[in-house]
Amino acid sequence: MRLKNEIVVGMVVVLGAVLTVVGAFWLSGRPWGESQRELVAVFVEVGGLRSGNPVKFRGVEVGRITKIELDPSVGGVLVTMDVSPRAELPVDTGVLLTSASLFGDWQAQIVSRAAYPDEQFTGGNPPGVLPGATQPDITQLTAVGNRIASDLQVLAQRVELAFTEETALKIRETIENVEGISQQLAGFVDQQTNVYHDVSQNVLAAAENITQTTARVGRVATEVEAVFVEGGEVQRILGNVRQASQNLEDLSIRLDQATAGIPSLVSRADTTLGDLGHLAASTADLLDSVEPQVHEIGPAIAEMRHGIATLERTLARVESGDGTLGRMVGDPALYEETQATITALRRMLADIQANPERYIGAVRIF
Amino acid sequence: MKDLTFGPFAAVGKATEDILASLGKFGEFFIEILRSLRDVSTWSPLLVQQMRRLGVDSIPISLFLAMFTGVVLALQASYTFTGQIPLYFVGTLVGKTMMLELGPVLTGLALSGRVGANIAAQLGTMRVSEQIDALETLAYNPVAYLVVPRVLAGVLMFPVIVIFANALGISAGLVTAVNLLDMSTQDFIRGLRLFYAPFDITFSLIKTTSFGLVITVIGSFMGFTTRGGAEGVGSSTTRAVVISSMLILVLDAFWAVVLLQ
Amino acid sequence: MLLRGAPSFSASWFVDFDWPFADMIEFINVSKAFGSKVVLKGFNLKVNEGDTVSLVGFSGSGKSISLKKIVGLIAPDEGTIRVDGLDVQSLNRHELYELRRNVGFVFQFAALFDSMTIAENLAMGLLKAGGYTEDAIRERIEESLRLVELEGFGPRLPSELSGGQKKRAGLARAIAFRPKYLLYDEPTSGLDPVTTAVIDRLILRMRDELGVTSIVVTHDMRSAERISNRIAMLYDGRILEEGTPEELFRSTNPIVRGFVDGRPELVEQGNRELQGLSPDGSMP
Repeated sequence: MRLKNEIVVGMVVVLGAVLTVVGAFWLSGRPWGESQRELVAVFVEVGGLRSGNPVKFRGVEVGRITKIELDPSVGGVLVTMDVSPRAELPVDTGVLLTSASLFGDWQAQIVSRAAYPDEQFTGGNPPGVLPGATQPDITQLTAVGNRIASDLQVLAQRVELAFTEETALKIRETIENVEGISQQLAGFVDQQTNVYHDVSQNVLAAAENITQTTARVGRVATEVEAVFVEGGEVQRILGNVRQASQNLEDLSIRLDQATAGIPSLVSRADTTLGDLGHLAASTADLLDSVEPQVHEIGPAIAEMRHGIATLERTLARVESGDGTLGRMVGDPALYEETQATITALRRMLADIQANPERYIGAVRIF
Repeated sequence: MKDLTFGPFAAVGKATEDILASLGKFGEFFIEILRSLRDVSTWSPLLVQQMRRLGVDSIPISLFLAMFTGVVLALQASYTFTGQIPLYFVGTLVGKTMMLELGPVLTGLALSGRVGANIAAQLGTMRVSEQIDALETLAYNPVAYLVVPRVLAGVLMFPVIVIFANALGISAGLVTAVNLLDMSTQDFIRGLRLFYAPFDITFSLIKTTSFGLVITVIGSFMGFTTRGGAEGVGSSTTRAVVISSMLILVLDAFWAVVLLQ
Repeated sequence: MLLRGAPSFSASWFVDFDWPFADMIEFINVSKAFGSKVVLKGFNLKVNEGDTVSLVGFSGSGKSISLKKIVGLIAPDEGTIRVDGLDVQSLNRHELYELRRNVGFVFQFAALFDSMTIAENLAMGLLKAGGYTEDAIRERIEESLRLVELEGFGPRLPSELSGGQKKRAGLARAIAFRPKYLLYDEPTSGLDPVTTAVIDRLILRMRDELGVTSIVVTHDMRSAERISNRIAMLYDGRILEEGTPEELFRSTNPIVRGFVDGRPELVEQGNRELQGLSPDGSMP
């Protein structure tokens, strides 16, 4: 009996110990048996990063964050990570901290610094310590707004080239769709309010304004259509559109004021506002070219349709899967795209600030 | 007259005195346990037997609890996470809740009934039938002989039990999610790993060890201080279960404040 | 008659050797109260080597408590208990264990460890003491069981024994160490007259064959008369009367008479006299 007790207890204890070690290892998601390379990077701040968060290289998970510590000697935060040796680091390696989803989990991305010219990587690090940069958290919410703005912008440019009764109809449908997205976005931001509290208040306001704007643009399109159907009153429509542009500008200013109080938000909001402004400019340009007469535009229709199809595909993607934005949020490809859009928009804004004369012609209405 | 006026105060004073007296006795008892740890030759032959009785034999009940907890957690998580929240968060919720809270606490509460009551009743019976006195007359240190093996068995075996409970609870959540919720195994595991920190397991084990200590020490104390026959044994057993259950929840909050902030 | 010579008390270096009466148990002015209930007050008793003293008294008069104090199971509030000249209260744990090996304790309901066989029960103390080979332990167990007339009961569990057999097994466990003193707590309570007589015979046999000094707590006067050379009556926290059985049976004290003859009215009368005699007897 005693021997049996000892055997049973021994087996249970050993099994428990094995289960603990194996379970902890498995949950941490580390590859089995592979010796890991330790990387250290320094950051000004690390946002919501925690030990155990994934490290990604070219979108593939290659390791985990193992340690986060303040280091006064480098004046920042030292982050240590275990990375698979299979990840061949680029020459100008940097580590970019981004949020991995809308729900507060973060990740570290091993990147080539040249691919992210807008990110401010830490410099003058001790040897062996990689430079790092951290993207602000609000990115995720403004990104969706940016995306809609840029899609509208593309659409407007296309419309400039081709404007027929048929395309007007398409535009109207498209704008209605965009309006739909905006409403969904508003609803979505509403939901996120719980998570992001005051920050989301401003974003919520922005999203509502976007909804209003698209509604206005929709009305304009309806009237443009009417012109082609009934013929005439181009001037009146032009007046309405100008009014719409004015409103858009007002909106930009209001949005600017709304976000002015939150310094970390300003640059992000500016980007969005810049896009909206640019969109308005494009719309105005379009009206300018409509005013004299709509000329030979047949050949451009194909391209126009292509543009609309792109937007519609996006919409379809957004609306697939129970039609929830949650799916979109969970879809890494869309998320990556959104991130790319932000970076592109930022670059454009920088360009506008650097070379205003290149854009002056386009914005003469304002 | 005096009694009528000061009665309530006297009652409060008496209650305070009683509570302090029992706390003092408990402190003495606990110190005696620590002191008796040195009496290795007395408790060591009995340790394995108690590890089997209090530890291994408690595994079925805790596994049973953990399995149903895992199933319910998965279903409740999916019920809560509608609309915008991705379904893989079911994995996160099941894993975190199981490891941080329900694994240790539910097991602790179940074992305060199974183990705590067992100890209190057994030692209480030995007390009222003078078997503890008899041990003393045979030159045994009864704390080293009866209490230390039980306390050590609890402290050593409870974490092992909870590891099994956590593993089964999470597995049950996975099976439920895959079969009833139309989730893929990969989705569940992704959610499970999403917020995992190595400290989760450590936290779970620290908690459980303290629960093991509380259940066995309180059970032993109640058993040792039993008075007055079968009824005394009954009330000691009840008190052992009630007090250790309460202390488990207090400790649960304590560890959350100390270790999770 | 006595098998035992000089005290083999390994902790005896601790003794103040000036003490003139080494081989005995002595209560000096012992008092004990549980909460507000006073059990002993100014209790004095001497038990000399070779004596078998019966401690009689009403239920709840503190007899069993006195026994437990001898082996340090209960500490007195005041007073001293000396065993072989050693103050029980002053002993450290190790010395107390040494003392307990010299003092066998027979519990009222035997207090056998019910998860163990009788033989395992008997072996407990010997195993703890160490220094016994397996054969020596087996031999000692068989001999002890033979002394209490329970040959062959070794492999049985306590639950398979009758009440009288359990008491004998408890006695066997107490004598496994061959102690110098044996303390019996109500050895015959709850037994039929024939079994009582068997137990009484065993108590005498222990005295004759092992040469032990015994204190028997009982309220069975016939049993006390048979087994003891002295009887002490405990009443109201102290010894009311002490003497040979004959002396006690001839006592004129109404309480003793009432106890011996089983007449409550005599006890009440004695109680009134006792209170009247006390200096502050005005208090009821």
